[in-house]
Amino acid sequence: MRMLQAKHDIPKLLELMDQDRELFVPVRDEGGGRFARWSDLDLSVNEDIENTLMLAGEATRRPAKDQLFAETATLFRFRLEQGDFHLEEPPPGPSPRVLFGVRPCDGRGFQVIDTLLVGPHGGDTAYQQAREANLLVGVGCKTPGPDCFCTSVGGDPHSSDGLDVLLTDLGDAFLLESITEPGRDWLSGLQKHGVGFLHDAGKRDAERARVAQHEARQRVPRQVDTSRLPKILERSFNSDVWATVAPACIGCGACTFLCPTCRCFDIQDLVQGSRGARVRVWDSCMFREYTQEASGHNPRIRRAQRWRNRFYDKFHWSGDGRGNPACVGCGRCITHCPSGIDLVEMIERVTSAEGGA
Amino acid sequence: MSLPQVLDRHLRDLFGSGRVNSVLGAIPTRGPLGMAQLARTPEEVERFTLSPLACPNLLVHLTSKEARLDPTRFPLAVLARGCETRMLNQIFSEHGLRRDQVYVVGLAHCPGAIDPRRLSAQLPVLRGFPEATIEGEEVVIREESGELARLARTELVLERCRHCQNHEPLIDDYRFDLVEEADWIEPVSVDEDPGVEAIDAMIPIERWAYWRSQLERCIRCHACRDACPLCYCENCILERHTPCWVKRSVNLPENTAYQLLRVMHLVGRCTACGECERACPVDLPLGLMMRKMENLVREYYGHRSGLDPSGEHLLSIFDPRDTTATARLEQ
Repeated sequence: MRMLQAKHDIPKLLELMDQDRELFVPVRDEGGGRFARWSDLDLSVNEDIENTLMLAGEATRRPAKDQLFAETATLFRFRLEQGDFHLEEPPPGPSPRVLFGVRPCDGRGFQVIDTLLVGPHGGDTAYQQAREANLLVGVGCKTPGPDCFCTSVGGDPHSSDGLDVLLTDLGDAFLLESITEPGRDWLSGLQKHGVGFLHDAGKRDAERARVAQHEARQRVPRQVDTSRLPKILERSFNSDVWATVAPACIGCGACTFLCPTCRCFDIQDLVQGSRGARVRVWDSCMFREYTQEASGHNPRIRRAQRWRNRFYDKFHWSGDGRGNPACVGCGRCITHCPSGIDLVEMIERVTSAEGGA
Repeated sequence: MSLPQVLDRHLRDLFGSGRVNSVLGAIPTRGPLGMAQLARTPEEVERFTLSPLACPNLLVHLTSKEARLDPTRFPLAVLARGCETRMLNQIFSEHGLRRDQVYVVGLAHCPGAIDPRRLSAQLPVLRGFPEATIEGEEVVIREESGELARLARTELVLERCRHCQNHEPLIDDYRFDLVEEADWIEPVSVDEDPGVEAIDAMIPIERWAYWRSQLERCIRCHACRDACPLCYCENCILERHTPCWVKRSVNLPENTAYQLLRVMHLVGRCTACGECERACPVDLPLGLMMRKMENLVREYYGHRSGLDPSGEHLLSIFDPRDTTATARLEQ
């Protein structure tokens, strides 16, 4: 199903989208942008909306990940009564939502997270509920960011993987295409109420979209060959190359917390008096504490070992379950690394150090 | 060769004479930031740059846990600007490192380092690591195609460089002038700190509303702590679980506790280098907290950290006749 939406009528579309499902949108903020609830924003004028919403240019610095895989998620609450623990009724799952303006890299990121948190034998309830409650409406990247390399890891600025609906920027309008069954149902629901501004798209519009998508692909600024990595990494574990990155890395978790596919977590009990909650919080393999064992031993005590682990997780041990790496090439870990470490350069270094052997 | 010949030769000779095991400097990166590089051989010195774009504070690689796990890097030579020698002093004074472990290559006549965020705000089109020089009160950015921009120095340098009083190294074993003696005019030092002043002018409820809106955005990635050369406790309180002082939960109360803890552990030690703010991936205004704290330490106790390598540590001084703080409270 294809629809056409003039850009100047976007506010009307957003209002309409907010009717049946809670709407979340990418907004510019002091920290480079993140997703926020539409109804919390006080935007009335078109100009405000255009300046605040991040639908063109750079992606939100914080990926859409935290909307489904929250930094801190309460799994259940408990209380202590007369020496016994009692579980409290779990809170109801999230209400239906629409995440509007998800970048294709973030959409593909959810597929990687799914491999861990949505298992065939039951996964993480909080994440699964959030996954089911959220309809993902993506917007293709007309102008990829300075460190984007999605096309090198099986992606594309207009990849529809993991999305329910994909928008393509046609200059004066967006083409909306349904990708999944729920996306199609949602679009036809919008169509019923969007009379006057949401139009059926024709063949010409689809052709314009293909051209725009092709042009965007040419604008992805960085390319790197990752095809040989799985083989190379089979014999690179003890390579000297990992030590080259350690002197610059400061061991913080910025790369992992801004990554759309990093999905490590810790479980903690927060207790106050006789009541408490078990929460799932983000964790980072770049933290020394991550592998600290109770005995005092730490198998990944050195930064080079932790860096290598992250690299292997992205390109060897994990994936998106569809034959692609667990890195979606969004470039956030490069642009925002406080130490200036460049993942693409590291891929090249690993490949050239071990590739010929 | 990126370094001036005389400096390049000196650094290579340090290896030859067995004076050091490694040299810590910065190399250019793909973006306008620069990256720390630990040269273990004379040849590796070759890629070093003195560009004002290479702004990360290198001293963190002297005090970090990684450095302690790697004693073979010492004795180590480090390229240090005036502000960094002040911080080194502080580290020596609190016995974080011994003076003989560090060979200080003091970079004198320092006109400042460029803040990558200010640069990208002013020149969004800029890519790569262009040639940048500070000429008096102007920063000149050149690309291969020619001069790209001429911008006001005070608008482009790191916040600490705007207020800098330490253009010269406080200690050194070797001194190299970043700007030649004949061309050196001490840069303008800005007294005003509009950021801190704006917060001082707020009434408490406004101030809390401001900090609340900022602290809510913290993602607790620890970049601020890990970038700080003075945050080097062997057992950081943030990694203790029994008792658990700051919980991992990312929310306003815990984020506030985390940031306050960081500030309080740096009282009398912080040199307001601003590295915490520079490292923050979500642009929290952490430098405001640190500068305010440093101002208060100076105002209450007349103390400035790091000015003397054998100086006393503010919080280690106990004098029953000391009335500076109580007198102020009674006023």
